[in-house]
Amino acid sequence: MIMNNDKDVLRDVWFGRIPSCFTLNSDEVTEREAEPYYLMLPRVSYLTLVTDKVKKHFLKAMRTDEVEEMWFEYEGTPLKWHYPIGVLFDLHASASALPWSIIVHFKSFPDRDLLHCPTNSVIEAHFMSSIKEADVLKHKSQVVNDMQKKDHKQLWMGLQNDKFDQFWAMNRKLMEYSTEEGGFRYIPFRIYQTTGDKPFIQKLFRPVSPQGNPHTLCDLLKEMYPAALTNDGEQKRYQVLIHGIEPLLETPLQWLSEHLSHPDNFLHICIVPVPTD
Amino acid sequence: MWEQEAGTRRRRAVNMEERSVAQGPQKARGEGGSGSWRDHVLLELRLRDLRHQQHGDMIRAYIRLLEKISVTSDPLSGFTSSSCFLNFLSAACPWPRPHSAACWTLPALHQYTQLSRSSAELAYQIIELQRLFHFKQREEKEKQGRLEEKELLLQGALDARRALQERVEQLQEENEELKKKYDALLQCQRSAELQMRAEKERKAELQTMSQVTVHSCDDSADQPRRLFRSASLSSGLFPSFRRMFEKRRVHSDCTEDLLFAPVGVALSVRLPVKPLHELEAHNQGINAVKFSSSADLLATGGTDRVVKLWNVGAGVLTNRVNLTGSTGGITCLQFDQSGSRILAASYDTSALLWSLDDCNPKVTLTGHNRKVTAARFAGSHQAVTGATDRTIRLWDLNRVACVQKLQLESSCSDLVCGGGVTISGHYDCKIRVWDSRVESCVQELPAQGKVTCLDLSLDELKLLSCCRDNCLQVVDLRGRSYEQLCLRAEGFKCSDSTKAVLSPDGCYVAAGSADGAVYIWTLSSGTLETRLLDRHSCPVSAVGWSPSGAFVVSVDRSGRAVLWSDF
Repeated sequence: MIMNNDKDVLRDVWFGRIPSCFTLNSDEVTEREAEPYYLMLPRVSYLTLVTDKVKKHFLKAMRTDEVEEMWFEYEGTPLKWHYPIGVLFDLHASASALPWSIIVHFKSFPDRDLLHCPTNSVIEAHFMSSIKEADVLKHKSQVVNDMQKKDHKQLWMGLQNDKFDQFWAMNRKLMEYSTEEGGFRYIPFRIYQTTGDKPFIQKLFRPVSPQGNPHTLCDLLKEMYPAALTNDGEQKRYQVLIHGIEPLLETPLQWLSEHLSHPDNFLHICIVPVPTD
Repeated sequence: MWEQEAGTRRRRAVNMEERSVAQGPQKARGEGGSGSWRDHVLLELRLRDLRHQQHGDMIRAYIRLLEKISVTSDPLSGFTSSSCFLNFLSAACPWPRPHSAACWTLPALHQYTQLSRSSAELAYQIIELQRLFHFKQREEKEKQGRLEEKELLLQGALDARRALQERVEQLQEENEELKKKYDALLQCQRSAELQMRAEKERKAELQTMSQVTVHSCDDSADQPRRLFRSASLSSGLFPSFRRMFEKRRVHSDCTEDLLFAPVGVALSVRLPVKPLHELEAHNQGINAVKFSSSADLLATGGTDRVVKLWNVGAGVLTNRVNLTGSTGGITCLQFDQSGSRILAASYDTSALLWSLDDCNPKVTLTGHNRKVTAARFAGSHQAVTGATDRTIRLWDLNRVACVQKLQLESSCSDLVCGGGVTISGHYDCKIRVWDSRVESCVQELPAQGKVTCLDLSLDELKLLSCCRDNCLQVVDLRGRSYEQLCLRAEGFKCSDSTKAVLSPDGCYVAAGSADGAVYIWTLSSGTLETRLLDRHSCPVSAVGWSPSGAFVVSVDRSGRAVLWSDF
């Protein structure tokens, strides 16, 4: 059931932007001095999908014969394009001053850290696979399989062209659930952390307890990342960020999955240390 | 569209913010109403958006500007404006007012237009300069071409000059050769000329020699004149002739006693009144007539080159002997004191001396260049000749050589000798007296006109001179201041060679006139005494008075001689 406020939530989530400043790596050989390029990056999109203008801008200053695949880096960390932009920001730069300064590279693509993204179809494939994976968890992939190819395409085009209505026209199907269930089968989520060897935590987790109580964010964290929770009397050490905000711990998980998911239907949660400023 | 939405959301967010602040955190946390966590999420989202919007507006404005700039595709202004934007961004961080974004676009646009204008001007200037540059390049090329042309011309000129120089040298060499040849030829010519001159001289001498020999072979004047021109005499003949003239010796005949022969003094001079005898004495004109001092001999000489001697006896002239040998007409005659020799002056530039027993001249005095006008004895061994070559020569008759030569200013027309002096009359109206010892003129007497003849009286005291202006002068030779008597007559005309005489006693003067008459003046009165007329049809050239005073002979140009006397 989506209320009016929920619609606002959806819209706010969809239209979230991060002001960012792209600077060309100083080691790059340029014919002219390359100026920084400013852009409002959509939180829900992917880097390689929205940085065409950045590439064009910097290519004007570069010698075209020495240009390889563009990749981005923030404070030494190569930015994985297959993470949503908002996730990258919350994970790496949520505490730093705006605008988000990203360094653009054209050479020395770090093959060990990043995936190559030669065309948009790669992004589309990744996006669609995420949606299918999410739907497997949610509906045993029944909904996704019932959708036609053009519906899939519509989902992708909606994301690519930043069309909220076009996207949600299809996406609401994926957010539906039968009432007797009380929610999805499992909640598709990923918990990201800056430390640790695993890139993210993804496990099966039911939105409703066996007793029928809806699970909250706190329950999830207790299960998956108990270190993020602060005990009473302790100093808060971690922030739990979804789309750049800290929802209350009692927020129901089902509602979170319905409203604060990314377009790929996953709930991306970032656990970052509390900024010490 | 979404901007407006964003704007409304912002306003709502502000309201929510205020509401949540008013409510306090407890409400958001504590009450578990279904809306609290939802509201919290909403609130958080809006706060988040608020935080990001500040930057968002600016970035969006920047993007829009970039798009506009990229449309105009002007990299310069893009640069400028973006740098402006950047400056502004870096200066104002992190919360610049949204509306200030509009202000900085305007100056950027201004600068953009200015820069575009200046760049256009610069581009124009560049074009102009390029044009100028091309033009100058072309000029330079032209000049280069002209320079090359001129260099070629110069080269050509130098070559021509070299060729001409070579030619000059060549011509000089040829000239040298020609000059040498010419010099050689000149030498040849000179030697040939000398030879020719020598030959000419030889020929002339030989000619004269041959003429002399021809004339000496002539017996009579009637014989036709033989023109003896020989261009080539054998060289053996010539030196012998030369020797003949150089070393002529006169046999010494002891002529000393002849010097002082008695002079017959005429005691009675009779005025002639009528002709006794007329005859054609000569073929041609007679120039001179002279009585000998002794034996009544008359000598006549004239143009026919013969001196004829006549006996004057019984009023008749009879030819006695003819003296030949002159190659020219006779101008003057004189007997010597003894009367055995005759001296004649001739047109052939020589004076001849005959001895009366010989028809051929004993001595020929050559040396004058022109006709000899007078020849007189100066003593028994010497003779004086005067010629129109302005010289008077004194000759030694024994050696047959000229011992003295007097150069005069004027030709001598007549000479008389007497008393150791020679008196000559000249064409320059002067009578000069010469002393043989001194080579200069002793005395100069002026005459009325051109002196044609002179005569000295027997006592050597009076000098008669006949002048061209028809006047006869008698000068007294005694004393320094001479007295001059001038005789004139009406109708009396004399010529260049008229000869006048004094009578033997010195009382009368007789002269022949051009009108054919003989005029006689009395000296004491100076008046005309008588005229002897009608015997001559042509001018009378000479008159002679016999020493006895009885006879007067006049001769004229046609060859007639008339003997006058008073009975």
